[in-house]
Amino acid sequence: MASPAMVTLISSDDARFEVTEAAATMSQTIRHMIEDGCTDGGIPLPNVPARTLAKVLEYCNKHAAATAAESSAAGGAAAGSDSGSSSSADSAGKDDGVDLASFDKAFVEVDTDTLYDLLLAANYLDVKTLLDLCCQKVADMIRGKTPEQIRQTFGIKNDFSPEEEEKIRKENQWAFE
Amino acid sequence: MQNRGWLPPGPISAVASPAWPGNAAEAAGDYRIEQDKRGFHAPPPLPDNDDLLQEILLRLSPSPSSLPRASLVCKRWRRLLSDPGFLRRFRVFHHREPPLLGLFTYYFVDGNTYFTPALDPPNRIHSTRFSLALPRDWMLHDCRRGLALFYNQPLQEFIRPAPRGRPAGVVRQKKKPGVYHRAGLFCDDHHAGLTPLEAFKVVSLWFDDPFIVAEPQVSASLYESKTGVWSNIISTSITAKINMKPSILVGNSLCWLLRNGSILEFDLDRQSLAVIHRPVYTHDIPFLRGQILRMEDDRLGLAILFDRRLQLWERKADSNGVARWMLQKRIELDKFLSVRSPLHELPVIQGYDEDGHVMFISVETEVFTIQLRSMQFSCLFKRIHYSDLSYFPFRSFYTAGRDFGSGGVGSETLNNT
Repeated sequence: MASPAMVTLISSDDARFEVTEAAATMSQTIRHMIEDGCTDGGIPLPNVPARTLAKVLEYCNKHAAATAAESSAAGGAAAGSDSGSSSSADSAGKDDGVDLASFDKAFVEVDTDTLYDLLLAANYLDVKTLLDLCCQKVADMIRGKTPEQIRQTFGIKNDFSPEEEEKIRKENQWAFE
Repeated sequence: MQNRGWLPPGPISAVASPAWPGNAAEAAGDYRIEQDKRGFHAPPPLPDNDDLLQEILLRLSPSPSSLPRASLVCKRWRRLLSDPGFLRRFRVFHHREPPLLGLFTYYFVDGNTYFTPALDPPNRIHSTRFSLALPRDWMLHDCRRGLALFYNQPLQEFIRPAPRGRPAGVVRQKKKPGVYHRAGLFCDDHHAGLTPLEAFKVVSLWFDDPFIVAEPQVSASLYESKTGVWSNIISTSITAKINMKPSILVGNSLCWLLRNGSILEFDLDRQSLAVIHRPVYTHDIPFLRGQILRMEDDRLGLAILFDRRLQLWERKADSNGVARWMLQKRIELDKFLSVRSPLHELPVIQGYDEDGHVMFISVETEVFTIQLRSMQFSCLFKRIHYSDLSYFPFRSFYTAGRDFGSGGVGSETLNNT
């Protein structure tokens, strides 16, 4: 079996990461750079520090591997599997789905600094599922909170005058009960 | 070339101009100093990027209090949340899960339509916010996707009202014969991000009186808001009267329960009308003892209540490909209601929420919900009016105050900002 194509990514602080093309191209930004032939000597990612890039790649490796396992399980079942029975390949595929959901959940159980770094990196690298995951995690931090609690959670300054705040509150008084 | 900040090729461009009043870093800095004096660590500030912030806010809960609360955080959030484009995206993002705000009931005695909230504070929408104050003869016929369809049989006109009694428009039809008129509402709003008011359909039905006409018929015509045109009339023979219950959307058909337990189906794709016979029974199904259901995979279902026993039927193709009714489940309501014995009244089915697969059952003065998938049973509220009423479940995104930002004169609108 041929070894998978590899690419080198270079973080903003010059750390080099060797990853499979399948994992790297989960990032649309990297995919476009590969398509444009900008891979010689590694792909520079000047906006992503090594610490964040390592974490993003952990996510991409896991998801790329799960996608590969899923397609090979489907192909194996159709063509007659060469490693074990097709039924075990099927159940492995299902397990991966559950496994991936719990991986995602644990993946964003990080401090807010790291979460925001991931959010920015997912946006810059254009990894859609990771961006969804990070945005949802931040949105969940807002859920069920009062405006004051939201400000405290995110360090936001209340820039309404007391009169303005009172007026807005009155418009939808029921929502603050 | 536009300065896109430090994140050039992402899917969401960074906005370089600081939308934060004053300076964002300064604002965050002030806060940090303040916190440090009190011995706390300031939380790290959110990325200073309007588009990313909108992506986050898009994923807030669709429950009614969610956006009003977030819009009181700061001016920047209020501005983002007031953007009509954002509100449109919010509805599309959550289109599968508009919350069940409450139930409408039409009360024959005073000819009024009442709203009873179903959510707890802070998401509780007070009933006065949906007081419609319509003249008599305007009867609620259907609710779907945040719209309510009223019909005035003497005038033969439909209205689509916004709360506080301001109709969003009147739909007229040519005078129809028939004694009994019913109407159903369909909205294909989530396609292309259209609001329900921009893309709705009305099915108008009129019935001959089976006691007067020898071979009674039901006739139907379909109105599409996009074209503003009523379709040709189609008819089929019918032997029973129709119930005063709202339609249930199953697949692409609107279905109504007839008084003999059979089902009248209007297929919106084929624009055809058909009567589906009830499961084989000797008796008719009384008004509040039967309920059309939307089963898994958009199959037609029917619930029938015998005393305190609920039967759930499903219409499925048998091995020969012929559609038949099959009994899916029996539910002993006594098991759930036993704590409230002795019962002087028998339970009745007052409604069904097709999106949540939840049935509303009332017994004596209380209304219960049964989630038919999980069999979760809970008390919803004490009844405010007497029984013999149909409940019209009302799901919608409640974006009260029109927008959260301008501070201008905001009229209250219902899912159609």
